[in-house]
Order: sequence, then structure tokens, then C-alpha cells
Amino acid sequence: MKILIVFLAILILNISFLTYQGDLGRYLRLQNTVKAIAEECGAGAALFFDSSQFAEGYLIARPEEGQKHIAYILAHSQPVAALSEQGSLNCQVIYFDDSLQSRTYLNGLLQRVSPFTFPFYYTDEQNRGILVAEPSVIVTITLVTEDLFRLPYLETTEVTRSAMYELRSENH
Amino acid sequence: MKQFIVLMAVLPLMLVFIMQYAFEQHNSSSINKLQNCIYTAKEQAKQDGYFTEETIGKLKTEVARNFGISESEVLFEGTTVPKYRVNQFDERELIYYKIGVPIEKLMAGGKLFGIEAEDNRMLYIIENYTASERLSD
Repeated sequence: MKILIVFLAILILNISFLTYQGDLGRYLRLQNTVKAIAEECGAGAALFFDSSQFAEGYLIARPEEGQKHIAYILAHSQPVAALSEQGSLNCQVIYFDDSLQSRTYLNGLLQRVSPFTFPFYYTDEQNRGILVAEPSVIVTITLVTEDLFRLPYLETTEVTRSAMYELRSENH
Repeated sequence: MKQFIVLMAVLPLMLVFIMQYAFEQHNSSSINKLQNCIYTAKEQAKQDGYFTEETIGKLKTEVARNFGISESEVLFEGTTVPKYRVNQFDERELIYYKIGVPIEKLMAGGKLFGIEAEDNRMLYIIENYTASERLSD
């Protein structure tokens, strides 16, 4: 009987560890994927700027075009698109440019316009900060889905990753 | 003697766990390397405007080396004609890529549990679009 109990204990321990290892790997891969998508969204959105203003030496973003790019990338990114169907996907994009008005978009809708000056120390809702010294696009993707860990005493339902794409401007 | 027989019966089951840890680590590490290889190739493709023969060749060589497979087993589908940077969003000017690699032996002790080799493998695919940074000539 003692041997059976020890065997069952080792078996449960092994299964728990294996489950944890598999889920952790999946969670880390998902984080990497979300990070790559955030980078792609930021890099793509930063490509669209006002060419007439650029001729004057100013980098003024065109968020309406950038948002189309981001929406397309999010819609075609696996497994994020698949996972977001089970939960929700929030994409916050902030444009800092030579208009000196930061524009914050959430899921494609303009949320806030705030004045700022370069260099500007940006902090997000979780108090994570970064110095914005050049025209930039900051993309934060938050994916809320079902519990990513199958073990009962672990619960992670959210993956958040940010990326910042910076453009060099002669004005700074 | 009884305990020895029990040990002999239980040992293969316990060994499966140890092998499975190793498989998980190996597969996870390989997938991380795959992501890095794709990231490098994608950045090059952004500059060139498409996946050149050289970029595809390097990508396949790196992936094949990391996974211990031949280059012909690496699946690649993607944009092989130049795309250009535009000032208005146009999905036709995006660079597409889809890279897949076969991962053998997902589960240790497949034969022991009656899992067919066909069911014990998968094709890991990374697929996305990226914006071209190539300016028109």
C-alpha cells in the first residue's frame, strides 16, 4: 500500500510538472508572438506621415492610415486572432509627432489628444515609463482569453506586450 | 523479488516523463530559434521589399540546422516580387510570409501508448504580413 501511495504521488507530481511545463512554453510563445505583432503594428503605422509637412522638416503622423494597417495585421495574425475570438483583444496606439499633440487610439477609435513637448517621459497605466525623444508610435496589445494554465492553482488570462517605433527627426 | 518486478513495470512509465521533459525543452527551444530566424528574415525582406532568393536560402538553412531537418522540409510561402512603401495603406503592398517546420515526436513513448507516428507529429506554422520599407525607384 505504501508503495502504491508513493507511486501515485510521484505520478501526480510528474503530470503536474509536465502540464505546467507545456503551458508555460505556450504562454511564453504567445508573449513572443504578441510582442512581434505589436512591433509590426508600430513599425507599419510609423511609415505613414504627412509628406507635405515632411518637406518642411516636420514629421506628422497619419493615424487614420496607420490604424488601417494595424487593423489588417491584427485580423490576420495567428494565433492572436483565434485566441481573441474566445476573449477580447485591446490595442492601444499612441502617436507622438511634431504636431506636439499626442493622440491615443483604442481599438481604432480616438480616445484622447494631449499636448506634450520633446523629450517627454511617457508612463502607461501600469506605471511603466519610457523617454520619448523623437516622433514615435507606441503600441500596446492586451489579449484577454481563457486561463492559459490548466493547473487549478495558477491563473493567467491576460497577455500584454508593448512596442515602440521611433523615427529620427532633424528637429530634435 | 516482488518489488523488483513492480519496479520493472513502473520504470518505463517513469522514463516516459523524463523523455517528455526533454522533448518539451527541445521543441520549445527550437521554436524560439525559429521565431528568431523568421524575425531576421522578415527585417531583411522589409528592406528589400520582398523575400529574395538569398533571404529564403539563408532562412531555410538556419531553420533546417536548428531543427535537424533538410532544407526541403522547411515550408516557405511568401512574397517574392517587390512591394513598395506607400503613403496610404494598401494591403497589396504588404509582404506576406508563411513558414512551417515539421516537429516530430510531440509525445514521448508514442508506441507505448499506441499513438501512431502520423498523429505524433505536427507542422508548426508562423504566418503574417509586414510592411515594405522599399522606396519605389
